[in-house]
Formats: sequence, structure tokens, C-alpha cells
Amino acid sequence: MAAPAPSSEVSLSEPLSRFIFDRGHVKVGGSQAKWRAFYLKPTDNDVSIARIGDMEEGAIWTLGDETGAERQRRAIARADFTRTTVQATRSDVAPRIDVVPYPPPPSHALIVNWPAQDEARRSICMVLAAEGTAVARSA
Amino acid sequence: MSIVASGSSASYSPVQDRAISEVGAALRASMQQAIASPPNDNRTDIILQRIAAALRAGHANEGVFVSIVPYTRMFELLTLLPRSIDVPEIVVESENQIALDWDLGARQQLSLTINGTTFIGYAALIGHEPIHGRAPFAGTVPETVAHLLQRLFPVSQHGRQRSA
Repeated sequence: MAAPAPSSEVSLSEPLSRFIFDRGHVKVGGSQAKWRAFYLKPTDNDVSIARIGDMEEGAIWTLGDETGAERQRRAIARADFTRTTVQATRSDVAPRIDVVPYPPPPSHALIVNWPAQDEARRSICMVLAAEGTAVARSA
Repeated sequence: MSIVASGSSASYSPVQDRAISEVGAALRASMQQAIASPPNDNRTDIILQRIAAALRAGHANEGVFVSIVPYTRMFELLTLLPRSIDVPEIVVESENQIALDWDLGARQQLSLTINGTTFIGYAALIGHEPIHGRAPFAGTVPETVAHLLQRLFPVSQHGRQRSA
């Protein structure tokens, strides 16, 4: 695995992933992530994501499990996307939404600068889920 | 007006309907509307089951008990929705907020939020168009929300296209 350097900027085409731990956040069969997989509560400011770069599949899921370990959750799927996907959701209400590195670990990043209004956040989550590619974890 | 009741069933005959009073006219309209409606499809049962499931899940996952105000407003909104609209998924998000989610595909999404205020929040993705905002809720489905639902559940001239 070639982990990104801690301070390296996230490139526009770098593979990113949001791990999914809740069966209700992915459609049956894992074909599509649901928007709630990206949803952040009104009291939160960021969404945690992973820079999966050229990681192998096994290493990606291990990272997902490590992410969920604190809550004793196993990653069951993930939604893959890029920084370009995030920037494409920019609008008057979210002019600066973006992805920034946020180590540790080196692979950790955040989607930041969400709009304050909850409804606007939801519609962005819907776009991210629609644009992203869901990957179900094989048993 | 002529109503024939036999056992647990009743029938209405427009041909024999001779009611001319205001009350009779109202009753006639009500009967005609009932006849025009699709048969009872246990929609109320589905709504109640989903509410119960949402309340259980909210408590199990988040330890949340829903306040009476958002609960009442959610129930009022659900009962106002026409039958041509699928019963949504119900999500208890906090003590003071409940969401109604329709997921008809990756690009046919609508989420309504009901809380202790007099507004309904809406967020949607229809096609490539993300939409969001808030609309006042005072006993009728807000116009913007009705428009979004209509886009998700278009009704043809021959009746509804989707099943409940």
C-alpha cells in the first residue's frame, strides 16, 4: 500500500471512499449507497473519508474495519468517489465544499465546508451517493 | 339518496339517488369520491407499521423518544398524502425531528423533515437537480412539497402509475 504523505493535497482524481457500516445505508445487493451514508448531523461539521489511492482491496477493508473499531462496527460496503465529485456539488449555499487531508492516519481526510442548512446538506449527500460507486464487501 | 346495506356490505346507486338537500349533496359527493377511490389497500396499516418500526429503531439505535409535536405533525402530513404517493420510509432522527424518505432510485430522492417548528424541510435530488428548502405547514401539503411529490409520482390521465 502506498499511503499518501500526511500533508499531501488530495488530487482531483484520487480515489476516495466513505465506509458504510449500516445495512440501511446501502441498497440490497450493495449496488448503490444511500445518501444517509454521507449524512452528517446538524451538530457536525465534517464527514470522515478515506484516501484509498492504490491500496489493495484487502487493505481497504482492513482500514474500514479500523475506522469502525471504536464503535465495534464492521465495514459492509463503501462508496467510492473523487474530490471532483465533491467540488461538483458546489453552489451558492456551499461555495467552498471540498476535501482536505486530515491525518492521522495518513489516509484520513474530511469533506469540509458544508452548508449550515440541514436541507442543503441532505441534497449534497444525495448527489454524492448518486455520483459515487458503491462497493459491497464480499463475504 | 339511496343506500342499501346488507350485512357488512353497502352499495350506492347513482340512478336511484334523488337527494337534493345540501347535506344530501355533500353525502353524494362523499360517496362518489369513495367509489372513485381505489379499494382499501391497507395503507393505514402500512403507515402504522412503519411508524412503529421507526420508533423502535430510533430508540434502539439512538436511545431517542420522539416528542409529541413532531410525531403529531408527521402523522398529520402522512394522512394528507394522496394514495398515489407511496408510503415513505420513516426515520426518527432525534427527539424533535422525524424524516420521511422516498427512494425511487439514485436520482429520484426526497427527504422531508418534520420537527417542532411550523415548517417542513425538504431535500431532493430529481434527475441532476438538487433541491432544498423549507415550507410552512399548516394543515395542507405545502405547494412546493406537493410539486416535488408530483415529480416523483407522476399520475397519468388514466390514473396512478405506481402502486402504494
